Amino acid sequence: MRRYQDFPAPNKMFDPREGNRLYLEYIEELVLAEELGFDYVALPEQHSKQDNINPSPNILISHLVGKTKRIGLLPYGAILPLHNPIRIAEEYAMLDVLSKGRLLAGFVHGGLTNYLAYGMDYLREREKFEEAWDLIVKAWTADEPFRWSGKHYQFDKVSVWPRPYQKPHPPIYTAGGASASAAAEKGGSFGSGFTTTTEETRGLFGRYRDIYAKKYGRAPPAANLAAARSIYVAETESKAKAESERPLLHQYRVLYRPSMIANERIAKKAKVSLYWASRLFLANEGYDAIVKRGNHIAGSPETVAEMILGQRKDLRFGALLGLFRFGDMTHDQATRSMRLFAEEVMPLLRRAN
Amino acid sequence: MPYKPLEPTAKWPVPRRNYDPVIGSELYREALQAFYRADELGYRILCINEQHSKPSNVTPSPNLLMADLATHTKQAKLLPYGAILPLNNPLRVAEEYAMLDVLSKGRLMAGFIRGGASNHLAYSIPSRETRGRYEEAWELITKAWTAEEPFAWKGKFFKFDTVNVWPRTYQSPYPPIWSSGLTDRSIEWAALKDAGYTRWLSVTAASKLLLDKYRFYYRKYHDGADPQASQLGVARSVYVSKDGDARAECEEHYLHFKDHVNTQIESPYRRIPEGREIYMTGKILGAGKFNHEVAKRGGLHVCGTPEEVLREILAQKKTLGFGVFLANLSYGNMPQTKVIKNLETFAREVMPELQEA
Repeated sequence: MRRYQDFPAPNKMFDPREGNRLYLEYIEELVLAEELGFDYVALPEQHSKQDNINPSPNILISHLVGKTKRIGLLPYGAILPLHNPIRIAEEYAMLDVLSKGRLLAGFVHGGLTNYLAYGMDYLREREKFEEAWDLIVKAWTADEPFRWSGKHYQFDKVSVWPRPYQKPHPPIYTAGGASASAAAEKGGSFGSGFTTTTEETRGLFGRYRDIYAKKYGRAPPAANLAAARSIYVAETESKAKAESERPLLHQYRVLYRPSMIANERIAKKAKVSLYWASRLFLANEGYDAIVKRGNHIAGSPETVAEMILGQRKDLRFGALLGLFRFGDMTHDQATRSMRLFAEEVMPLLRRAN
Repeated sequence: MPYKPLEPTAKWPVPRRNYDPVIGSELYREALQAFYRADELGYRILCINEQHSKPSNVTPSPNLLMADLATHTKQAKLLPYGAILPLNNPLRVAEEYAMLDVLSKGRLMAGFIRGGASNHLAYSIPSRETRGRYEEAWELITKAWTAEEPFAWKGKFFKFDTVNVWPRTYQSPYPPIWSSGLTDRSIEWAALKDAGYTRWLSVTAASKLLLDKYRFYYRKYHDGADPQASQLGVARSVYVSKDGDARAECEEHYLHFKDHVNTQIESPYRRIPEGREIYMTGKILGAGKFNHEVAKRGGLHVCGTPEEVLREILAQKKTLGFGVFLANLSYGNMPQTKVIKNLETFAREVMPELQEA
């Protein structure tokens, strides 16, 4: 058995009543996002950990289908090498049909700790990502049952019911450094992570643009690239810092840190260098440093708009994924920040467009 | 949840080019609404199968539908019946069932089944491995739900370094497990594990043999104790009409349903060399074309006035001794208006009497 410092946190810490209460709170926040005019909500897949209890985002996405009407729904994303690609094809097709075409199909490599949770060797298994991608797309689009004899997957007769709602299939979204090249090659969208610094994002986006241009002979649409940041809006700048500093550090030092340590140790043992397996430095930095790296955007509505537009000018992304509730922030605090964002920041962003 | 517009076909797998997702989305919506109504009407259990690659039941992931029902229903238990353990990663089953149990505040019943040929073929799982995978997965999932500390698992089919499933289940020690099966070993296993056991698609006489077999094994493994009636179930298609001609109203839909089952669920057994031996089908089910009369006589299809339906169910209950009756009130190409009428009539005219009995 492999255990790294505080990872994994034993599940006996989980209190089901509290778990139910928190799930319902998070769901309320996601439903609020539709009311506030966000374009989509995203839910990551994470196993065996307390800081994100979502081993099957499709379950919560399906739950959200019934509570929303218009907003895009992004499981972000299915960790392809961990699963049977046929199952992913089936579940995403069901979600697309259930939601009448609101599904955004997330495909990711996923973090080391998730491979550990499923007893898999990251270095060996991540190779499966591209074959799984191709198999899923074929399973979605083939008119006739087909045989698949690949390096990693063999199926006699694939015939996935239902068919997806969107044609030819839901748009594919990827995230994380490992996926940038594959995403560019295959024309999927690509997003950097919450712990990817501005500098690192610039590099990843650059790589994506180069590969895309080489393959398709033109620049990718801006909408293909998304940045992810924690965001906090308050009436004044000083209030924003005062209110978001503690939850932000809680997020990095208490919630993220155990997996960051585990990731580093696994990567070190395997003698690989993966940028996202070297995030621990962020957990050791202070609020101002994290803001300087671009990972946290906080202030008055005007400051927040300015910071976003500044990053957009620099990185030229077409979408911004905001983490509004982080660390030990309460539901009320998070929803207040979301509302301020919708009421005061969104109009400024639209005007700048 | 059948894709109703399609006529049953012997072609396997059924080509998917005829699936229209716009119609498909309406059918899902209607099916979910029928479940919401059932919850309101006081049905105690809502049940959805897992089926792959076929129009007879477009539910490769019943858990996704249960996630919707967890929001929109209040009292009914939710029974995905069942996770086909040889097809799924056992950790994934453990995780999803735990999430559903927490989301629904403890209303999940955990269906575990070994599954049939058509689904094993859909995932290219070798039939000879399904028994071993089934039993090992079952043990692993229940251990994952109850272990106090992370543990390693080194089995024949599954190897995991560090099992530590978040979230934990809401119910303690875990949701009640319900199973099924025709083979001797599946029945023995269910009895050994003290799991609920349900018969569906077996005529009454055959159901008696199988339920008695379950009782036999139960006594063997539980010091001579008998199973509770509450852990024995029977599932039947049901159509009840108070003022109309029940048979005329439902016959077309029943045959549509049975033909789909025959072509897509039962005929694939023929594609596996030892299909009949491995799955025991054909011997008990009497596979072949059923007409309405034969189905009714065999007890598979319970159809008539409220009095007739009640009488038949009570007669089966007397013979078979079950405590749980799963009524399939929406089958084949039955249109939504009839489904709702069927649900409501059964709830008002039959259910109260049944619950007294």
